[in-house]
Amino acid sequence: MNNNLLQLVRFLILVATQILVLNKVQFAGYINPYIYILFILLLPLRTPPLVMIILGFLLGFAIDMFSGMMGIHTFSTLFVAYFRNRIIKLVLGIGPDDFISDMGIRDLGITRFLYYAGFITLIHHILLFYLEVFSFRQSGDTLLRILLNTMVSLVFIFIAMILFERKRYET
Amino acid sequence: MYRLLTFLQKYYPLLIFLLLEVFALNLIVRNNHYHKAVFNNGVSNFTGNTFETWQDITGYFGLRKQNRKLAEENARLRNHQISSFRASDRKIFVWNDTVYQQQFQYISAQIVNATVNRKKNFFLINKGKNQGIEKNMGVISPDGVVGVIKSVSSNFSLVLPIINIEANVAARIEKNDQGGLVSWDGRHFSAGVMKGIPGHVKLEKGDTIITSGQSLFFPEGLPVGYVSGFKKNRSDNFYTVGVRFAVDFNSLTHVYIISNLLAEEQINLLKAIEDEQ
Repeated sequence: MNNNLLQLVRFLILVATQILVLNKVQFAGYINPYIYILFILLLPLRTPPLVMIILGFLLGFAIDMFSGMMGIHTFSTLFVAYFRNRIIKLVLGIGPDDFISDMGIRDLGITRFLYYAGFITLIHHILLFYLEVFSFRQSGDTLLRILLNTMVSLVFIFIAMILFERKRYET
Repeated sequence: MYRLLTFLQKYYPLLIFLLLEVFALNLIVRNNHYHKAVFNNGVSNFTGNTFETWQDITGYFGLRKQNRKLAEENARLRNHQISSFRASDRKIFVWNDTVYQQQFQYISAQIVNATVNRKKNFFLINKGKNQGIEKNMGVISPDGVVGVIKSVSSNFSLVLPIINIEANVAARIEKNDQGGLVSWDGRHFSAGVMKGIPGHVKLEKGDTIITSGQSLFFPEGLPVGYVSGFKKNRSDNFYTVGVRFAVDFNSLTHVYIISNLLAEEQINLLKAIEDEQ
């Protein structure tokens, strides 16, 4: 499939899954998995910065429109989208010149992918949950929510990768 | 000038990034409530319709439970029907016609989108201005109090439920009429807290908490929740009462909106008093 088309389909499927299914899922009243940042995780390494910014903004805004509070998903998704390549460099030591086309499990391996995904998910969730309550009061409560949600989101992202990542290169 | 251009050329992604982040922050701060952001710019009908379509599809899975609840409510209402009573005294007829003036009207609606796992939860319902819904009307389910209408668009409105940290409901303990405020602590959607009960009152687990009737939005005596525990504060000798909500917010689909036909009169009277002072 054409890469741009693939990204578009992925965008739509992830947003739909998030707002129609996962936003209604919850465990113990605390936990709501956020799978949509998988879109940011999987963008090709060579995506130009400007495109990353615009896609991050659109993704966050789309989620915001359907989930109650304006701005919080936009802010945090845009943030991780902008810093993603720097985080990749920091966490995995991969620069834009390295020959890795796909940021999925197939090319990175399970450990490195989880490391990378976990880092970005954590940053995203820290921003998201602090912006949601918009205060540092009851920080313990917020931190607990961040940690639990990060773990659950990561599990969902991992399952999605196992189920849907294409196994072989298409030529 | 040339320097400025090279600077811009090098850093334009950063500038755009910062610009958009400021925009997002502005959205958060200015529209800390969903309603302003979404309901004023026409997006509401789009999101509302999306959720309504989805609700149409998934609504079937809960039909059995909903049917049972509606049937139970039908039975209860039937009990109140005139035809269920036998006139034992002539006076009753007179009372029925002239003494009772209708104060509350009910409009039924369906929840098309709800969150229960945020700190600031909102419910979106499929009735709006066109169906006679106005801001500040009370929202109840067959089980008890749900919340109040926070904002309306033409065909949808947004409910501020008790399970939003910004909401509270005036309530009282049914058995001894002690009044207080029920609010939510932002943890689990099934439990909240009630404050303002003085320490000398005797409480028991399972006591029913009902609306006090002091609020303009709810008739008196609707269930809000049940006492699940209580603790006396050392500092001010008031109880902090744990409340188990009467409504299961997670499975809520049908609600009624209450319009208080006498609300305006009450508000005007209160205003008149305030103006005098």
